[in-house]
Amino acid sequence: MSNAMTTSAPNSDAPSAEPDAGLAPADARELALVHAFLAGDQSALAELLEQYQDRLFGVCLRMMGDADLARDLTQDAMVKVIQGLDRFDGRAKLSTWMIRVTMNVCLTELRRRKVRKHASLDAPVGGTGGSEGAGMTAAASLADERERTTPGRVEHDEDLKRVQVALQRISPDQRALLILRDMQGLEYRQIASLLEVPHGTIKSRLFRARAALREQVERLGSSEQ
Amino acid sequence: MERRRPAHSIMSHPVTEHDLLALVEGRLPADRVEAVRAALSADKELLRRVEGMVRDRRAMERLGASAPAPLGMVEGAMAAAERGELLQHPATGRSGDRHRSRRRIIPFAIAATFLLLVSGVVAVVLLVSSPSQQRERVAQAEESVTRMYEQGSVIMPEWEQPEEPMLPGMVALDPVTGPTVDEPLTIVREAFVATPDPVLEEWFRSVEERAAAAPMDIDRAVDLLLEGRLALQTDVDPATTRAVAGEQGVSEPALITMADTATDSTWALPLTYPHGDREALRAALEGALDELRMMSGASVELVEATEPQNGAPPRPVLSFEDVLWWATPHDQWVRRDTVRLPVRVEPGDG
Repeated sequence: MSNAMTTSAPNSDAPSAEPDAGLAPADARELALVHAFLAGDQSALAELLEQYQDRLFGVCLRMMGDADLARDLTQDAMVKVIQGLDRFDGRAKLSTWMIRVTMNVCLTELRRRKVRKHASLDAPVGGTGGSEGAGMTAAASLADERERTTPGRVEHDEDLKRVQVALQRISPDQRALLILRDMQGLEYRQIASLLEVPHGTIKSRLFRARAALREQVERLGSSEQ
Repeated sequence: MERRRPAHSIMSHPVTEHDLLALVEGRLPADRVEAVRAALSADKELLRRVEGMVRDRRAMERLGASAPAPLGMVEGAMAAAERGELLQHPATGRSGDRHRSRRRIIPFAIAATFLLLVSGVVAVVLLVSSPSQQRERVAQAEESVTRMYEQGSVIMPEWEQPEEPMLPGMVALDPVTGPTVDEPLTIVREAFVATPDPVLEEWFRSVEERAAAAPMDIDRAVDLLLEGRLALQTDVDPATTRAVAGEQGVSEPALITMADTATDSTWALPLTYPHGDREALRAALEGALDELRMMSGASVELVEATEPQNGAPPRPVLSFEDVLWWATPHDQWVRRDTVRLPVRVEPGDG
């Protein structure tokens, strides 16, 4: 393994990709897997992808709001990751880079479809695991959820469902911000880098995104009453 | 214009959107707690909304934790990549395998044919969208920005809000027709433009050129910033610059501000960064510089101030968030103001 790591770096122009003592153990392990893959170890690639598949799928699911579409896009993103691993220069965390690739796939798809801000209440809502939620409408999903949950959890779960639907009603860029911050737990500078926006604007953008989400959640709440 | 003002002002302790964001994310600095608490006590509607945002954030976190990937996804991706012969690395891709090589000819042949077809299409597109046309669009942009300068010297293209009326004073950037100040205006968010927009590209390029023309020692600047001795000299005069608010079509004194940073020489919001995170501070500074450069016409230099600037009190800035600053090259480069950026260390993510 160590031999492979020194003879086939991901990018010969990027010495920073070499694992070193300054990296967190997880980062070093990730880079070792990258090098192993580039040296021909397919299992290393599988291990890398499996490690992140939930996060990448989560990004796609929440960005697109449809489980089947999210599955396809996650797979597309993974293919791009595989394609790009030999160019990964190690300057960003591998996880951040993979999320960036995935987010770009989603945003490209949304632009292609010219999806704008408004998702209908009758738009499909993504499930969490295969096609469980595919085909359900948001309204039906909310109603169904009310029936299935115990009284003590109703408000809690309805909040969750409303946020899930409201997320599809705000702009893709705002959605991306909230997903990266709240679901992926990225820091401001990582988000700025990932979305290629000035770092200094991130907090304001985030606040606007939160305000937009809140407005949609409240609209959903009032339309149900 | 509500969202460009501080969310709530209490005399000399304005509560900003950033304070509220910090509160929602559970990282409000201790020295801001009292001011924020007072603001929320005085405004029940604001309190209700902030509480809602906290609930939304919790829900988002739970949603993020509840999306396991379907089975077989990794295998599918690897198979798809292999089908596209994407897994060619030194260990396998250059093995000299005849079978592999022959298989590779087929996609190359298809690609070559496709390229011939595409090149014809591209030639036609290039004829239609020639560099001269692009230059014309840029010229139109400059012309419309110049016209807008009658109302303000800083212009901000706004994002399209489908349900919102287009109001006078909006600046348009239409991907087809280019910018216009005619009404009603179509305002196009950059993210929705299918291809890189030549007008925007031109503006961004000019910002990059401006940056390249005046290289700065950012490391030295960060040192000075940490010592409270950094000032930015620009040709922007905060006292006279007026901003045009695209959404409301109004012009008002801007006292040039940026999203996270204020640039008035008397009042300035500090650049904030997590304790010990020099890189974050550096990124914040570079962001501030970029945004200053975007006020085109504006040049910016880093200078060493003679006195520490940390004591500058915050002011109720107009918070121009989510901005893409455009400004007219309205006059000659005249250094008119020194912008001082104090620095504040935050305990957490900042």
